[in-house]
Amino acid sequence: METIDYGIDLGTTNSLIAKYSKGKVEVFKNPVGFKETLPSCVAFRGERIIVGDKAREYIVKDPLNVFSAFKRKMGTSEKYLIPSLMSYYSPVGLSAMVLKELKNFIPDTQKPSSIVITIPASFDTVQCNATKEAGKVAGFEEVVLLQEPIAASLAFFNEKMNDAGSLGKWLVYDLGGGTFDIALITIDNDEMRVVDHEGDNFLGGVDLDQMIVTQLILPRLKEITGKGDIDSLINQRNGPYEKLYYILLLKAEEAKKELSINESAEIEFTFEIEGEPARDIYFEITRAEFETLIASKIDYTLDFVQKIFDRNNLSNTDIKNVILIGGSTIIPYVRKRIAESTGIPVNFSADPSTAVAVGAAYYAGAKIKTLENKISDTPSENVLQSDVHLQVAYNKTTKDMEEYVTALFENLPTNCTYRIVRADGGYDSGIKNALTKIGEFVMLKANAVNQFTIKVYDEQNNELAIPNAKIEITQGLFSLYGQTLPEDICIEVDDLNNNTTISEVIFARNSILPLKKTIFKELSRTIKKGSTDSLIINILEGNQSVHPSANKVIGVIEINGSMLESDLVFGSDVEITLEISESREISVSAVLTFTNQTFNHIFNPMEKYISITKLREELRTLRNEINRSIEKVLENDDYEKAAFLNDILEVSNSLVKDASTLREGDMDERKYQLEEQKRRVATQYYNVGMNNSPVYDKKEKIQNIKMYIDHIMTHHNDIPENIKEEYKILIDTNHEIMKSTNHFQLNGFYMKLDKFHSKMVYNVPSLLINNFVYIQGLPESQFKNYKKVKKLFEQGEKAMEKANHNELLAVCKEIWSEVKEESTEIEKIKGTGLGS
Amino acid sequence: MSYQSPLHILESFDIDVKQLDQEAIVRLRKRLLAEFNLTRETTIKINKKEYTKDEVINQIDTLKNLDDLETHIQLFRNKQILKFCEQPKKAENPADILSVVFDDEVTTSNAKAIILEAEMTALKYHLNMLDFLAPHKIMRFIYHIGIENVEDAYEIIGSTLEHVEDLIDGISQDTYKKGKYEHIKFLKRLDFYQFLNELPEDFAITRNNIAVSIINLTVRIQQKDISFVRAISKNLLWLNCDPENKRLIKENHKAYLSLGAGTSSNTALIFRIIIVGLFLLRACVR
Repeated sequence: METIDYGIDLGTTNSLIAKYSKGKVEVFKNPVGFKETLPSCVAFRGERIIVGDKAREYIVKDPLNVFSAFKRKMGTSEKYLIPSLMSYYSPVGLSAMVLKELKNFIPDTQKPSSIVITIPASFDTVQCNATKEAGKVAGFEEVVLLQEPIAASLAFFNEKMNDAGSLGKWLVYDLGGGTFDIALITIDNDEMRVVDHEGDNFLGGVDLDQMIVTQLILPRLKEITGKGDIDSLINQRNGPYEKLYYILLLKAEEAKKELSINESAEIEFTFEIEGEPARDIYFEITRAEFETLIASKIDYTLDFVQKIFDRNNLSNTDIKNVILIGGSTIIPYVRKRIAESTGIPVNFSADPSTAVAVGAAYYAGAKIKTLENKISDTPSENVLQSDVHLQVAYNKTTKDMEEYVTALFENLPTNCTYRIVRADGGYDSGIKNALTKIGEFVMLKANAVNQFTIKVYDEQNNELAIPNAKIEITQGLFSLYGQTLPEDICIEVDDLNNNTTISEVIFARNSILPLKKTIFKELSRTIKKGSTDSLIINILEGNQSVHPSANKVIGVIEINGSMLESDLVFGSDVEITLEISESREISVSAVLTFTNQTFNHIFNPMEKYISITKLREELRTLRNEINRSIEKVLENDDYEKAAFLNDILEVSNSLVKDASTLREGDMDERKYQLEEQKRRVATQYYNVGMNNSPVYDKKEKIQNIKMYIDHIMTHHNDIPENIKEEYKILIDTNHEIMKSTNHFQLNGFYMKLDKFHSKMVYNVPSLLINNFVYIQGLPESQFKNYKKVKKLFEQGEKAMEKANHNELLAVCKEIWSEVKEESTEIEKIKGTGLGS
Repeated sequence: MSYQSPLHILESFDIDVKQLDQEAIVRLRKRLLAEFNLTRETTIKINKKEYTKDEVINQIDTLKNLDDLETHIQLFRNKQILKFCEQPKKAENPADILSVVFDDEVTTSNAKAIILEAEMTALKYHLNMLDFLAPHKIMRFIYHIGIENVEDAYEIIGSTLEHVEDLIDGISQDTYKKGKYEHIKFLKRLDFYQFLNELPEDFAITRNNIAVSIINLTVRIQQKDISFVRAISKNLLWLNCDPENKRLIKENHKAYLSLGAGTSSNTALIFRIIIVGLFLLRACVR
């Protein structure tokens, strides 16, 4: 059972590589300079490619040929232009260079083919695939991804905590260079579990650097230089200040670090633009200014803590400590603010720079390679060569004092026996009959690397040579069952009752990977063979409670009529099997039971493109929808919901405003941030049930008819008491229904009101006359046979003159039957073809 | 997600449920998780059922709550109940299981809740399939169980009946094609009308609307498929609806029976019915 052993923290600003061996983790140092961290920075100097500290030094000299923070664009279609080469590199390509460089930290004889690479917990499938691809490009044959908070927790609990002290619930707060994650971890019965997590892929130290540039440095620079256009042009690709922008980002990062130690930091650089003499610029920024600047961002991270508390019914007293991880948690204000705001003790004993890499190595030390095991144990003397093949399985690390070992034998001769012995002689299973499959609980020595051997003997008690018979279990370290799914994986299905589609969950967030499920869906419509109609299997990632449009599409299988061997009949079954690997590769198989056809797809999206135009449009649509919903809920006197919607309207207004300033050539990641924020607002919006528009439409109709009846009741003196009483009872017994979101209940109430309305009009002479006058006023085109209606009008006039109520009633009814039906049909959605 | 008994796992490892304690659960978990390391597959097979690692861990977590063991034991010992709770959509007579809710065999409130949840799944499934026989039987039992479950059932029924109404109206208005009435063949079955009759007063309006939709349908398609119309109108006589509709249904049925004899008076009668039927459908004052 060979394990991966090597782990990489591929960070936004710094990366590291570490190795697990015999219960310990070693972080490799760069052979050049002997530093553990490698800046995730790539410089192009002519044909030369430089990675790390040296590359970073070139930012001041040649900023346009130096690239960093590309992790933030993993999984996007963004490409970086390398002016010195006049060619483009993708974030995957640049990340692969960093990974290759990290590989160079390892002696040649040990170069691994399998690796664990860490990712932010909130990375979506596209970003995961892009990271794996970077690993493959860097020459790793097998890449296993690990979520950063899990890695950090493994490092913290294995290295910093004793068994008794670790029991309970913990928060891991990871504010790194480019991403933010928060995870809720429980330690119970020596088990470590990731219970829940939240995060933002576009929040980290580089955002703080950008804020320093735009809000602290630029105003001073404007004052000093008198350049009024600097704000708007600073981050424009090929703009006059492009070089300066990168230099300022570097200065901001240096100042940020300085301010973690001192009360003020110097900003010093040369201001150079074409056609003007160079000027030396110097000023200071203070820690107080910096803290005021970042306060809202840090408070934003604390909102995620509250979300986790709410979702898991927790309060601050339930949490033992907040463990701080990530370079940005070195900032004193961050530590202070977390402690003050949460009231939970803050623990910064883990090294924020190395914890993720160390944890990745711990994980790698227990992770079995899936690549063919090419190493075999050297047979000892006095053993017989044999064809017996042994496959053994167990937990490599544990906190328990015993562990279960199971094994499968192939080519095992008859009447063989086996025994499992610990190298130090502290455990011996005794001789037992060897069956094809065996299983034993083996006793462990505390806080030690326990080595065992499975020995197999033939009928004559000769020991047989068995490859892979060595077992190594480290007692005293936590192990993990697996990683959790960061977001719900859903399928889009039709909700014909509400004339919409919905996201139906297949795998819920926090399920343990890998996952597999087969579901059966019925067709919601017939799809004809040879037609252009199609069945859509749309796999989404996000939140099951929101409209599919607010989720991210992982992949779509479209089966159209031309692909069918016969008609797919309404109600027939579609068997859909979805499988997700631990590294989040998604494979989907759809079997059409009616036509006996199978469609297999592996979704491996590595890039997503965000169109600014589309983003702006989507944001405007969302804002308008929220606006309309506010009007509707106010009509229904739902002030609480209106207040909530107002809050998200404000956010969406600011997003619309931000989006209007986006430009295609911008060098920052604002469009990705806005896209993510759009999804968050949409999620909040749909979570309050605002996508259930038929419910609100029905409530609106109820309000209208009720207002009309109330008006009649107030302005007509001839309404009989019994009708008034009937109305009162109807309203009193149904007033709670308006709070309902049950479309059926609301519809029932509407129909009762409608029926009452008809009854009232037909029974009250003045209302019947009004009704007759009303239909007389309808245009000719609204009647099916106007000639006939004209005669009925004359008949009605006479009935009115004679004050013959019954005759007028009959005439009115007959005229109404001549009125053409209003086309009130809402356009039906086409849908996916899959029923809910 | 249907109930899955955690006791399958115990059975496969020959563990006596009565001897289950926290230590035994930890050992069981180790044995199961080791199985995942023996295979490259995402799932392992236990007692012919496939489990992912997530499912195994959830089952172990369920077992950890020793207070609920009695519930699992009660459901596990009656294989018919167990099969129904785990696969409610596959049960042919889901209502039969409901009787055990009142028996001594299932006593814990959790076990009863699990059975009722399975009933709701079965109800929804059969209604979606426009099969009203099983729902008809389920509803007879449901009334005895408690208001909370009745409301759940009503919501499912309400939305289905709206769909039924739309379906009938849609087919009624479309041009005729052979095999077109396949989707509404449930109208020929008496259990559909019995099911509607079982529903409480809250559904009176819906029942009437469906009656009007069916009246209109029969009137509109009488020339195209009279045998289908007769089969419907015979069963429609059983439906409890407004007296006026009831009278219409009776008259129409008589007319349909005599249709084919070719008398002009019959045709005239039916034409008149169309007018009244349509009028009823849109009896509203604008």
